[in-house]
Amino acid sequence: MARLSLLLFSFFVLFSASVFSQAKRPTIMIVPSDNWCFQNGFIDEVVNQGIKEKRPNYGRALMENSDLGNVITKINGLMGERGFPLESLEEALKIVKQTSAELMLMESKSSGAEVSQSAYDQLMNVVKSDIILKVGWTLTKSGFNKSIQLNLEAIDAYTGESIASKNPPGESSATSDIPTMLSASVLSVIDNFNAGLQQYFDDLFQNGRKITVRLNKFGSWDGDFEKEFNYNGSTDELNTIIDDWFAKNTVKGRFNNIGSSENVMNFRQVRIPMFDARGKAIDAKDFVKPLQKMLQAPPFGVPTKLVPKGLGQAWLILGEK
Amino acid sequence: MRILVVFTFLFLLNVESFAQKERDPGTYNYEVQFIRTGLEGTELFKVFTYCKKEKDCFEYAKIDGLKAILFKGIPGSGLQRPLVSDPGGEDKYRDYFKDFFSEGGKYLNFVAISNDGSIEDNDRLKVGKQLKIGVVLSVQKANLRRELEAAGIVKKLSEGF
Repeated sequence: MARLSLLLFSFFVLFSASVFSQAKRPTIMIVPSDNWCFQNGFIDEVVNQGIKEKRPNYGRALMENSDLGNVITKINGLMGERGFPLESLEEALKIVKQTSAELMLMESKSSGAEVSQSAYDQLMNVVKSDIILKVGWTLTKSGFNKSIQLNLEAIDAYTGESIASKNPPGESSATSDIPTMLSASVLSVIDNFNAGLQQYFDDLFQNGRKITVRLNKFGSWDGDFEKEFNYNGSTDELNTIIDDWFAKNTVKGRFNNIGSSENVMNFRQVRIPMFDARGKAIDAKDFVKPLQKMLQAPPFGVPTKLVPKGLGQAWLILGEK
Repeated sequence: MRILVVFTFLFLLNVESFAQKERDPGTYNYEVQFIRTGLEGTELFKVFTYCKKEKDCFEYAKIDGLKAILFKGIPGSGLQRPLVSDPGGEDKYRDYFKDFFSEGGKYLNFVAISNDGSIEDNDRLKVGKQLKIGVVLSVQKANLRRELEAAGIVKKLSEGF
């Protein structure tokens, strides 16, 4: 019996170790680039706060342009072979349609108060991936010859940083059809593109994952980020205390406070460790949780709402749950 | 005594036949030109190598072309960065690559002479006492990468996740 217990315990330990030793894999989705959508007429005009804006219509692009579907399938196959199958844009769009694109605005559970600052980014509501691959191509004709220049760019969806990009000039041909030329272009760029992606992943493991953290306040809260608290023996404004928390908890103290006011604090390029002290992989939500606990405890006593957005972004809204 | 001499002679003959043919130090220069991306997972290159006998150039080209892909990268190709991204990789995995590039070694699984080995007139030159020949090669880059990943020399893209 004792031997059986020991065996079960060992199995559990090994299983836990294998589960916790892997960092969370970023999800990747491929979308047509804005420029390609514009060039091919897959654009909707929307009015945002009185200003006309042009936005790509991915659903129509997928439905009406078969070359796009072929390119996405090709890239998906090649990425899958490298252990990174892509999230399906088509499926994501269907889910969004079914669930009415989630909530457009965050509301408080208790009073229904709106978030003070901003609504969700429209695009991120539709495509919630950690890395966005933007693909597009330009067809150039010269006499009987035609050539295709394929553009492929990977963007960290939460920091907005370009991770890897490739747009080599394509070979010209008088006989090949466009799908064949596109397929050849994908094959010619994918390895160099993946080398760029590999470099980005290496950097993540060496210097920590990059995340974005945004702190807001509900309109119903009477406090703000300039309110003073006596914490750890000194009196400081809340934004200074939060800044110190970031300096202490980020990898090599690396983060960028891109703007603080009484109502909002924005942190970008926040380098968080890939694993916590127990060896468990962490994401933006896990990183911010201790800050949430700190703010909820004395001397602050501020109720907060933590809103994770993918692996790389978290919002902490102060004032209500 | 006579038996011993015969045995020694046979032994030396045997060793000679299995040993890798020594390459003339003057033939280690090479140039690689990217031609185009071929079928899925393949890449075509032209490798100019130096040799004394033309048939040696074909063998040298296979090794030189692969070494360029592994340790240098080839500008303009789909492999601009070397497959072995670790700068000291060649020394670090010396034993592996010694086996890999040995006579009849694994390297032959990933490279083939293209165009039936035909050489264009412009690609056959006499340089001093040596020949300089441009050989077109087809390299199975996807299979090569998989082999190196399996050997732990190249990281998988998904490694760590």
